[in-house]
Amino acid sequence: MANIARSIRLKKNYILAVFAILLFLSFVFVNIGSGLLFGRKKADFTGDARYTLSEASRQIVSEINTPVYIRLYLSSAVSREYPALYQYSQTVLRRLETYRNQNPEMIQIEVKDPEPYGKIAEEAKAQGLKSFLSTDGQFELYFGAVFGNDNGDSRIIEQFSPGRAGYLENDISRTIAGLNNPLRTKIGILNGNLPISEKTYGQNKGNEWAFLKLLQNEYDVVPISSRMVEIPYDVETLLLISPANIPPLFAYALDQYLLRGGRVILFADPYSEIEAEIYGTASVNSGNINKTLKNWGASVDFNKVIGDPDISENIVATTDKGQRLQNRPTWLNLNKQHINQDLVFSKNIASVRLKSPGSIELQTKEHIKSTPLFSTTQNGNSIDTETLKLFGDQNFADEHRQYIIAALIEGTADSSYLHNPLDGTGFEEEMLPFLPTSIKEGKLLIIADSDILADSLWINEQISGDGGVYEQIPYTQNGELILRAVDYMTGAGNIAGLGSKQLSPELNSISREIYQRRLKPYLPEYESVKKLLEEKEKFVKTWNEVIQNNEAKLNMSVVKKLEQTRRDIEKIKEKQKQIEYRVRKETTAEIDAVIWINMAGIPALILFAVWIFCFIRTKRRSRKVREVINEYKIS
Amino acid sequence: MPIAFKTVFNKEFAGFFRSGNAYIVLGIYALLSFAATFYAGGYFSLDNTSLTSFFLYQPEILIVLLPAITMRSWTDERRQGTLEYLLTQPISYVSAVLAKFGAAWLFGLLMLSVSLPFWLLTSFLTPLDNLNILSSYLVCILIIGTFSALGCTVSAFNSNTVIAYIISIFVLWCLCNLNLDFLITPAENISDDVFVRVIRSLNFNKHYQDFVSGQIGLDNVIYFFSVMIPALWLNVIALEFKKK
Repeated sequence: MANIARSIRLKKNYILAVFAILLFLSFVFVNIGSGLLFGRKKADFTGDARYTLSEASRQIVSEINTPVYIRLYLSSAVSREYPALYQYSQTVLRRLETYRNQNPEMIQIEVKDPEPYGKIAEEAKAQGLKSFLSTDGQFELYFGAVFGNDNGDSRIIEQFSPGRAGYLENDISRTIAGLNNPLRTKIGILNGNLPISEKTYGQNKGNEWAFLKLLQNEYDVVPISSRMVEIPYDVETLLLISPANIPPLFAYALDQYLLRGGRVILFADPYSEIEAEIYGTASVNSGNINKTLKNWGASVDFNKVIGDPDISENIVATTDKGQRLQNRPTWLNLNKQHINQDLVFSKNIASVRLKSPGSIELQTKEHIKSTPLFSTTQNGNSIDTETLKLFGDQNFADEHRQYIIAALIEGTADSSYLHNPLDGTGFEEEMLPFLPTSIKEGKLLIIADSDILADSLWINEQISGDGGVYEQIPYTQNGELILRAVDYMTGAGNIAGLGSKQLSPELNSISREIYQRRLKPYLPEYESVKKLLEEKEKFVKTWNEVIQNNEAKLNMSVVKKLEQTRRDIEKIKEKQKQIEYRVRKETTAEIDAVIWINMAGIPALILFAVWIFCFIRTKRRSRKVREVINEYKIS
Repeated sequence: MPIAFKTVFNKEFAGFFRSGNAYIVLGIYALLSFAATFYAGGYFSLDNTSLTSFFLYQPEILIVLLPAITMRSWTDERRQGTLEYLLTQPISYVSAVLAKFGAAWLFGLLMLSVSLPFWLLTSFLTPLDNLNILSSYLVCILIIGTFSALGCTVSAFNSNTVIAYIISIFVLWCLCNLNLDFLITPAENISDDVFVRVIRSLNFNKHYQDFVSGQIGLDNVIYFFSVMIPALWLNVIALEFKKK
């Protein structure tokens, strides 16, 4: 009997084992099948639609005509050395996979680990990727990508930066679009008095404005001189930056360029605050550009600067009475309501900063379509440009009307000239023939502000430093708008639709958020101490340089003053440290509170609630049972 | 809901609390989860808009704790001699298995709910991507279901609670960590080759990470159910075969 039972048990176990194996095989095959069938189809469960490609990106990916190979160089040590960066690297990988899934036949991805001093690290360096040091400063690490295709074209993203998370799709799509169209379009820049590039002032480094780097990354940017009598025909778009006084021949060249279907972006500023900041004064605009604009149904008022209390900025200013919040009505922070969202290049642009802009008057003209781009609220006011320069921005005319600050003008127009001004000189024979009217639709984008281009209005210079495009950390969308406007003007409509998902100037860590919140009450004091320290240090540095270069003789009063300043610096530094210590202490206390509340407080409360619930339930049941027993006894 | 199912389900669920086991497991879960979040997950230093730090170690924590709930589901019945009594009641094997599995799953959800106030508190500290967090909770719910099903099945094969607990941990660890990734190089990991996709389709961590990063596909959902359903089926067969 025992043997039979044993044999039955063995048989049962055997059948069970076979069944378990069959179930395991079903698990394997079901998953292989589902992986192959549904692996590429994913729903995006993120609030900012992180893994959903925009229409513009999808179009760019669909236009790929030769296979694109993406080599991502990611040092494995990043996960150990920089956990936050590693976290971001996973987002980048997933994002690249999204592109691949969109067009798997044309996009291939390869991940490479450049080990320190290895062949792959050398390869990454040779490709032009930027390295960064490990925390101990011993090794070079990489986190960038090289995009190449079968035609031998390649483009690189030197380094992925978490601060540009909102621009990740923009960066990747532009890189792929660059491979689709390897020939760079030529754009020209005529710069007035702003030192936007090193070429302008012959300096060696660090003098290129961020917007220019953005344009150079996508286009072949050539300088245009105001002495030219003809704008080169291969210049697809011309950027005219704060042209204070246009020579008559160049005005003619501009007129003819527009009539030949040229595209111009004009930054016409009544008062360039950045220029005033750099040179101590801003040049006066003669307004002769209006002669060219007249036939296009537009004119810029260079005598008035626009302000708007509803969209103006508040700044912390140091006055005699200490730190005060001061309103700057001419410093405007435009949001979606004041930026035309119907234009391809301004769609989803939600933040643009301007300083003392002018206004544009638009007239209705046949064959011309004028579309306002930026406008103030109905509370807009104006102030005389000279009054603003001399007395500040508080004396506004009580107008309360809406002003147009930027406008896009498209269509055909007549020439402002009756003939070529050089007629009869013999030079006219070397020039293109005079056009009395448009032969092709021209495009003119007028922005009545040039400060929009300044780095300080849109990127975090402290984080971005002198780095390349992929290190720029924007906090407003000035640069993005300019680049997209150029894309639109040059005819790259699909790229012009590419925008940022969100502006994330810095990595949001909770400790940083707590620190910032705790710092807020101390901020005015902290900022004034910091400013004072900078001033004192600058003073000492300047005097040290003067003394070292033997530019001035050292006397007792100078020595005393220097000594006093050094002592002041020590005191200020101590005060700064005190504030930092206080903030750090409060931050640590809040962090500890968060830990204790979550680890002990809430679980204890929940456990207590569950126990109370069970206790009451048991008591109620016991009572019911007792009642039943009592009823039974009575009956 | 059939009365028999409801009765077994209620008895099982209330049993967790009667023995006091539930309070210990709930307490340890909270302690382990938040210790991992704050001290190992970089809660204060990483970008936590999706509560990444919290979800980083959830599978590991659940591997250790869920078997503590499921280990008794069938072993106790067998040890106390109530299994035969239960199976002679007007309840099908499937209902009995589902009731015990459901009770374990519900307890797991209760365990997970301890973290809901944490979600709320964090929203006061930093802006959160609630949709992404929801998808992370969804995968935790599926993991709890999967682990509960496997835990109950292991329990059905054993008569010793401690052994059931240890074997359950081992089985769950194997599910989470045994994969065929060694067959492909890290460089090939995101390749689109069919072979690589086959290898990755069997990787628990890949499915988990898909949910946590907010990219959910049907293949991810199928993966968890492809473990849960066969495990419960095996549980039913095991009961039928193991009865005296």
